[in-house]
Amino acid sequence: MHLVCNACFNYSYFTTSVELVREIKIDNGNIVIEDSLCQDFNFSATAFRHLLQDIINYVKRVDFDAMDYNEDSHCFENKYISCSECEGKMVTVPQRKIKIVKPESLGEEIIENRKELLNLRRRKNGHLLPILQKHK
Amino acid sequence: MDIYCQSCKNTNKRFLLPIWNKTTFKIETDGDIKLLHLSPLESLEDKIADNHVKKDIICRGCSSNDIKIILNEYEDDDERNALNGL
Ligand SMILES: [Zn+2]
Ligand SMILES: [Zn+2]
Repeated sequence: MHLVCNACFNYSYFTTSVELVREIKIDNGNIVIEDSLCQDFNFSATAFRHLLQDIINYVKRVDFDAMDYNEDSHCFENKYISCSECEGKMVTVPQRKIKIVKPESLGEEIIENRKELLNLRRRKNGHLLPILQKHK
Repeated sequence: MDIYCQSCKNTNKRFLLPIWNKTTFKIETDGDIKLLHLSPLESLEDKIADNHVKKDIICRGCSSNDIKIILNEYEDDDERNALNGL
């Protein structure tokens, strides 16, 4: 799951705005609009796909910074991507995998995970390293 | 109608026009993106007619946006009104 609508829980279908660059030429006084091609390379399609991917990557990366508070609905709304199922804008990155009760300090977390560190050291160094004792 | 680049004299072809589009897409579980729908949010006619103000059209040859467009003269009032109504 990459993005999710917090209103209807759709995580597949979304809508956004992307600039599509096309090529114009004049043929017998009439405008012809077509994809911009460079030999086998379709610049219009490729640039469009990259821009769309950039928007999705940006929203996933900045997470909450992609949201704006809507005074009327009292909700945070995504500035770039909306839900195609319910038309809502409460689209976010799915909840991060964090423990609900997080240790208060870095020190507490390190102490809590000490066993894992010891196991890691043992795997790397066998029993060669001394195990530090707590200061009294 | 004619269009030409005032910078490199390129005429009537190889001009790029960016248009904002609304797109509906699907994100697959592996992150792949499938396009489902595309619809323009801007009028092409307006973009071309207003290019002297907005300067959105770019010459593909030299990347200049100093583009001159000479629009067709419309012969009857109906056609002129239709253009005004766009
Ligand atoms: Zn929704
Ligand atoms: Zn040019």
